[in-house]
Amino acid sequence: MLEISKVSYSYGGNAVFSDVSLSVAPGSFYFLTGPSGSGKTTFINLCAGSLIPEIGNISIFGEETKSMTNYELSKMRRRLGIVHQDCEFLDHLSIEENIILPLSIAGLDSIKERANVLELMKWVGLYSKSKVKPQELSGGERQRAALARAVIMSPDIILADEPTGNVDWEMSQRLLQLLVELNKMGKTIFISTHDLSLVRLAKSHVKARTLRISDLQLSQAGADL
Amino acid sequence: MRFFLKFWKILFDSPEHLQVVPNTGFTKWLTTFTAGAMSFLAVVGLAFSLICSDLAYEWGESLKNSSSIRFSAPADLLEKQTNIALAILDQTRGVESARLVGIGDKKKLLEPWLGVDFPLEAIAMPALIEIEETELGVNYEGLRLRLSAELPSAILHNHSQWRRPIEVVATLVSQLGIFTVILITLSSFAMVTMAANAALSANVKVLRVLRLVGAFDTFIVTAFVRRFTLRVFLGSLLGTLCAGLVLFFIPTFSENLGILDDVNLDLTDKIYIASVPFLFAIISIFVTRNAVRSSLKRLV
Repeated sequence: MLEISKVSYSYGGNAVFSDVSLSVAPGSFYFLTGPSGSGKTTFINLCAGSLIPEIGNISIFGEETKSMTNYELSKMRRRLGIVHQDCEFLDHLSIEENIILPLSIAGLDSIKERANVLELMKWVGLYSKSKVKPQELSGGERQRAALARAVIMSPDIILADEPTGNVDWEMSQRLLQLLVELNKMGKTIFISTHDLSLVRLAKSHVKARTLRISDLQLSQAGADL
Repeated sequence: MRFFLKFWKILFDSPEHLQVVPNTGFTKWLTTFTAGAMSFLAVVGLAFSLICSDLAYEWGESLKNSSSIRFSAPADLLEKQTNIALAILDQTRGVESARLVGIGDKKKLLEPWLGVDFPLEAIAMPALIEIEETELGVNYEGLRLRLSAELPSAILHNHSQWRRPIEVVATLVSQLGIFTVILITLSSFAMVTMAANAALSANVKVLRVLRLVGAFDTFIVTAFVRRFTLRVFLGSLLGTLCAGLVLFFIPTFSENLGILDDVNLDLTDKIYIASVPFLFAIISIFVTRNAVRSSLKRLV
């Protein structure tokens, strides 16, 4: 599903990481941990096709991101659900319109799909805020809205970069619960986080693996904490 | 009509495209105002150029095949000498028609200096014969020789001393007008480019979000092109309308001077002017497309 093979990446000659390899199986749950600056966001961006590896290859759904055109990358992103720490929205649209945006863009916003959006908003607990603008939401609500947007297209993989970075512990638990539910539905979850208590909590609910970029540089296997 | 329908379809057909790019913020007004102001200047410059071009043509044409004979004679000999001059002209090749300029026409010619009710009859004025020539023109040297033999007081004017400088000045002014229009068009190109880039800088987040949710680059480019082109088109339409109103309310030359008849914006000129908003829309399409594409290339 997601194959990372001997990937290196640097910014202006400063290596972020090198020779990283990983194989992600469908339906698995991964945590990528490490301190700030260790390359977690870069790793997620590489997996999302937003960055292209300088050395090595990343294959998603059997295709190498390096050889994909912009069109193919966009098509691939429709099968990925991506949640960033600073979850960005189109501020001039309501939360409902933001969540339905991937469907609108893909031309799939039929009445049936719109009904599904409302169900999804109930699931993330934002049904009552559907007409509210993103800037009027709290940090946790924004994260849940970003998660709803990420899963609206029923993606096979969900990549979340520090999804609980800006929210309190209670909200972190709520978000984790949503991600665990998605994993139980068969979705592959890949989360980068520096919050080890979140990792511990997840492991009590689901079989999750924890990876550190430094471990990936040496071997293909992740190291369980 | 088909062109307008196609144009309308390009701009308004897909609400999804328009929806994703915000229609708020200072860049909205920046783009609209820039397009409006530049269109106003372009229309005024274009009108200036077209009027000068018409003026050059009119002046050149009106003086091209005309000349005149002036002679002084006592009142009792005036009719006789006029008949001699008209007879000579009747026999001269290249003369289409000739007529004696009457006292009424002279009064009209001198009206700006002497006033409406000046008693011009009381002054001994030289007689003036206006000659309309054929396309072949008149042999002035031959005519001059014959006049000196048969009507020594007659002086022939072939108007070239007036026509050439007027033609040269009018042509120069017309070329200056064209140069101004070219400059304004290029400046408009630059201004629309800057406005589009400023608007894009303010909307980088929109680009990021659209990329994140899997929008194809063509969708993103089309969305921005539609939004910006719509703004530019509306701004340009307003600018053109304002300039059109200004031109409409400026009194025509002919009403004031009476010597520059038909120097006005004709239908073709008005079509050129009406095409300015469409030209701006086309500029905007190219400029925005390139700006969005380069922004997408820089996007992580």
